[in-house]
Amino acid sequence: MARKPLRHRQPGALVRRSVLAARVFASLFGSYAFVWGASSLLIVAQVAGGIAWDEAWMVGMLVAFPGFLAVFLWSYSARSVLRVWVCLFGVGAATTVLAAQWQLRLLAGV
Amino acid sequence: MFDTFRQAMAWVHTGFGLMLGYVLMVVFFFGTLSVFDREIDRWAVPETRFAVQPMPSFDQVLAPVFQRLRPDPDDVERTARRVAGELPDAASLPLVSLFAYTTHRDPVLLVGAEFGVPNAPLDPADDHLHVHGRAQVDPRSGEFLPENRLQIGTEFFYPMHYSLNASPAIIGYWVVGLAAMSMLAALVTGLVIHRRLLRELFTFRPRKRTQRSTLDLHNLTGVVALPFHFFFALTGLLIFAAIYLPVHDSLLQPLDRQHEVMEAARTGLPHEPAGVPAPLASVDAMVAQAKARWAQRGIPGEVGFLTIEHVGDRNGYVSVFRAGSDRVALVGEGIHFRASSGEILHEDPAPSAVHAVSEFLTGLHLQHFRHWLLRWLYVVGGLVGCVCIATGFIFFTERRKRQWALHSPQALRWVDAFAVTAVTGMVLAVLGMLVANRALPADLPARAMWEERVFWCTWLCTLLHAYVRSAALIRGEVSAAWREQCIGIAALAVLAVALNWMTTGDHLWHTVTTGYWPVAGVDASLLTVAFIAFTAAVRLDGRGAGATSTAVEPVEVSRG
Amino acid sequence: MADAAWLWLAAVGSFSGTVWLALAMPVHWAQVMSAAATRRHPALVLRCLGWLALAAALAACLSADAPTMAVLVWVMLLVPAALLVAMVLAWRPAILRCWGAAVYLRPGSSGR
Repeated sequence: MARKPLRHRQPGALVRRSVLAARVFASLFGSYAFVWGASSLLIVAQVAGGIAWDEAWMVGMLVAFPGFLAVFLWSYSARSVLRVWVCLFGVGAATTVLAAQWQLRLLAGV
Repeated sequence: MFDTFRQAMAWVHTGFGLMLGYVLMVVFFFGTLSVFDREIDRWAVPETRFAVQPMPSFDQVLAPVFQRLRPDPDDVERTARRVAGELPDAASLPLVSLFAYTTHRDPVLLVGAEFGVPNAPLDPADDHLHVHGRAQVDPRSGEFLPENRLQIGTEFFYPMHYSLNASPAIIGYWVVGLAAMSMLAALVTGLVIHRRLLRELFTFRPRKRTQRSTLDLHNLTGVVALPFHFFFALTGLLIFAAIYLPVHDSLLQPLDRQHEVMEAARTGLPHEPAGVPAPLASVDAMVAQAKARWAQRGIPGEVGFLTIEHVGDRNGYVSVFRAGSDRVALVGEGIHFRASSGEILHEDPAPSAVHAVSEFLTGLHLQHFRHWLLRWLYVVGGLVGCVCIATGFIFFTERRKRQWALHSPQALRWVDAFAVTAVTGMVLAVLGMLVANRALPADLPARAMWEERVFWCTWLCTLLHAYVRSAALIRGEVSAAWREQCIGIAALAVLAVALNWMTTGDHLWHTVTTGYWPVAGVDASLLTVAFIAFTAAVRLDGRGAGATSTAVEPVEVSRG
Repeated sequence: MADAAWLWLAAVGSFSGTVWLALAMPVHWAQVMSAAATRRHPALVLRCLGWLALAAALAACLSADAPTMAVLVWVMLLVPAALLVAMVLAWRPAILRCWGAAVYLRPGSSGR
């Protein structure tokens, strides 16, 4: 399968390498940010729904690691590196903020 | 960037496999040894070669043990740096909580305690400030075991498997975590790039070129043990979830703290001490009551774990947990008593569905159960994992061997040297440590440290040896290091068994006929390793230059 | 002791099951059986036999242990079983001939 790689030389080796580096960076740190935010939000949403904290946390963790695996692999199969960055870091940051805000409201409500 | 999905997955498989494969190899190999960590402990600490003991009487045996237990000097030193002012004399620090822990495989008992610190922390957020102390106890007498003994299985091989014994350990945790994630990714991507998954499920062609048969073996071991590999990597991550994804300790800490307080109110188990001294009622009576409760619920069992929180305080409570030797899931069925009166405060309810799943998953990895067949099957699974990773490496270098021999012979030699170090070198390091354990004088100061030094030095030496003896690679032959290190393995393994006989008198015939399986098992395994290594050495010797030069033919990879 | 017997049975069952599933593949059938037998390949029968044996192994595991433990033992038994089958196929395929011959033992097919 990997026998026609010459086509890749076109954009120039330096560009190609930095694009790959950006993808690897996003696949690790972007996926982590994504999973961090998403699992936090999932946990807070469950607590808001009346599920006990430790149970909500457990569900969050059980989903987080397979979730990391999924977005990690997606970050390599996605066409555009830009989209990978926007999706992973963007969604990660947004869900983190949302989870924090929601938590504040939950604590204030008790 | 990648033309096809499969190409992207192949890149991930190779890239992350090469980057973290060495770590994975270490994790799998020492994880395999950890299946029998306690048996290796018996071999390495002959003073503990006696029958498995149940949790001893607290009132008779353990209460005096905890009176003699002192804080760990290293921990005192660390804690002194975190507090304002001078720490009082370590021996005068009050015991605030304690635990005792045993399993169905332990003759010795692990005890530990937290000692309160009167000083204020330098960092106001630094709560739960304690110094710790722990010791191994002979439960028959209550005597502490000598401190300069390294329980190689539980204190070196086992932590090696999840922290690489790195210092600080947190670096090791993260490297191993990343490796575990790469394992999961490698398994999924491996399935994607494998073209004839089902058709070649049982295919192994040892008589074909090295490259072909290596790939066969890589595919075979990867696919056949796929569920084992996947679930062990995943559950390994889950066990350390709180370290890898500490949302409860940062972003969601307020909810976590709120839950702690609410939980204390709900279960009636005080979160904070009252500050009023109170005596301790008979813990043996509480244990008897807990056992009666378990028997009533149809789950009679022994005590595996016993804790006392807020020792000597009116809010103190005793928790008695059941040893989980009869199930996969790691559930304690804890029963909690008021320490001053012995009345039951709370009984852990049956776990919810989510907890049942997570306890099953962590339990299948931590293996507290009594099931020797399953233990050995885990050993098989772990070794199969090692073969899978090693063959992945070998396939990678075999493919590029001829090219590299021409353009960058030094790189080829180093890559091969690392492969040797990761396979035979790792075994040699383990054997070197076992030999040192039996050969070093019993009263040597810092004996444990010397054993660890021998381990690391042996491993380093195998790398140098592997590099020095790899000149044959340039001619397209197999590096002499493989054969020589195999001979080394055979020699050291036999030497370890002989030293065990000489220093303790427990030779294999004696341990087998008296049925002392922990030591008999380690000795028999060592001899098996010696036999396999010797056979491999003989076969490697038989394979001259002619037999292996075919290994550098052009490639016909697994593509349909 | 009875548990040990069940576990032995489970081991035999999972090995036999994997052998039959392997023999259901034409390549391995040809590898194991004599030239005369290779003309007719009873793939479906072999596949059924294989799954039956694996099911029997699971039943034996369930008789020995609690269900959660039994499933774990069963899955783990498949690892050495499949490895062993692959190794025997590579070095001594003739050993597996009696498993292949077992197909002809079923009633009605003996006088073909």
